[in-house]
Amino acid sequence: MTFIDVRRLLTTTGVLAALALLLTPQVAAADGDEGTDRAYDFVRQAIALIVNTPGDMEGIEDKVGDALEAPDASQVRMPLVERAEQALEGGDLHQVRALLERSLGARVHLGSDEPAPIGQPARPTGMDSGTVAALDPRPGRNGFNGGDWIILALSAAAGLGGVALSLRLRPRRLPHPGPGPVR
Amino acid sequence: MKPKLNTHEAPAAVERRRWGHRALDTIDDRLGIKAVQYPVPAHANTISYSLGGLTAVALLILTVTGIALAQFYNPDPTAANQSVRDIVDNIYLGRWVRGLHFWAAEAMYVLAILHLLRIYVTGSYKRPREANWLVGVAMFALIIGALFTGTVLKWDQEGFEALAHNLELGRLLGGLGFWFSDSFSEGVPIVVRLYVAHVAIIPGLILALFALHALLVKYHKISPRPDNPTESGEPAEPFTHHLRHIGALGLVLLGGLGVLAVLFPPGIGATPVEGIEVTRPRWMFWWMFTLENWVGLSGILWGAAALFALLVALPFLDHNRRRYWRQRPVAMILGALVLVAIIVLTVLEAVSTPAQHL
Repeated sequence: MTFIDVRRLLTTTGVLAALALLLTPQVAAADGDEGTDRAYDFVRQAIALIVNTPGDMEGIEDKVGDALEAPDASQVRMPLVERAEQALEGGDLHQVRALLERSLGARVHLGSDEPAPIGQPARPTGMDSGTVAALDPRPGRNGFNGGDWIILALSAAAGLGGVALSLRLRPRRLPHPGPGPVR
Repeated sequence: MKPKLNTHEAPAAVERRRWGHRALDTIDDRLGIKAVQYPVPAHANTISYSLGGLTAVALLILTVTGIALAQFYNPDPTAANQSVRDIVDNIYLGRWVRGLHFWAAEAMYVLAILHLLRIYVTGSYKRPREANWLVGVAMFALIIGALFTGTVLKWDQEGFEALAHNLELGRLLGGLGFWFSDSFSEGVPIVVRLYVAHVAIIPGLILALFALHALLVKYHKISPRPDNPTESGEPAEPFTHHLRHIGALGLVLLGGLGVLAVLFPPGIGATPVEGIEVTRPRWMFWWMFTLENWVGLSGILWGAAALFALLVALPFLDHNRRRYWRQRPVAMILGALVLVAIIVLTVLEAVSTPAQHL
């Protein structure tokens, strides 16, 4: 009884491996961290970390520190970044974020319902994110309203109707004579 | 064939039926729609043999909701995230339609995997159905592509990081990764190109392959059950009954997804910023990201390439003519090992903290 042709398996694997090696001439690029020397980028990253991972104080401190040491300080009001660093020592992330946003000339956030755009970024191309100061993430749901209940009831009714129809249309008992000889 | 008349029916009802049949015959003369009444074995109407049809229903829901969302989505990077927020907040039924689209995508992925597993377990990829297996594998790859591009389009930190990974993978592929390069079409934001892929290129290819898939199913006939290869004692039914059955199951799917869309609508993350890596990808990609944690970015490429190489090679490697699972221990054990490996890698990513790779 032959189940898997081992020789074919090895040959196929070998051919695929060789192909893959041929097609991967830039493996060194895997960790290609295209670093920035712009305080502007570091400040944006610091704001994004506050928004996404507010518990990562070390990461936020690093980014604010990088911004202060960055050789290119254009488009950033550095005194505000310095004040943000002091506020960070006090643990007031709300104030840190507001100061960093103001340092970019962005409008200060008000909460998760903040309308965009905050500031006017340059026209993005390629892989530019188009974000100046990150908006807060939004949860999927903030409570139920009457419309939600109606849609919920209609969806449930459709599902139950489908179940009833499926049961009505289900195939009758099928014969199971066994696998039989190989054909 | 003349329509069967019920002698107890009122003359008006009989006349209506006659009119209906005449109308159907008239249309059939022009379009040949009765051709879809070809016989299929009764087991085609079991749930396990209806998974492909249900995947198609999920695709239909995705298409309809996608068309609706496309009216309000703006792929410009400065506006994309906000336009999704606007769909949720300011468009009538927007939150629900987006939720339905999100959950239908999850359902399509899961149903496609279940369909693929059914084909594997029942050995339906074997001669003469190898080509249709390959078509199915290609469709599965396209579904993953649609999931990926859909993730990117919401243009939050998670989607942006997924795209950044993909760009690096494009570099790893050398010349083959040219499309995933921001220098390929300078001046056009890459999210715009991904939007075109998500709404036109990928669905177009899926639909073309789906047509081929369905034609090949008809040509080779629905594979017999391994425990009844001669289909002895099994009645045949018109394919239209199968469609009716898929429609009923599809209604269950639509209702379930509708409930999920109300109870658990997807959120949207913070607007993206370059240079940080703080999110986790969608769960279906987790197993590849565990490999990335172990061996670096190339782990994603190698993992995906290995899985799809196995899927493509399967019908050409497996020469056991038997289709009943108990008579295919090697194939069953190997399949289970691959499945367990993917599940373990997925769980490992679930319990890990997102790490910086780029």
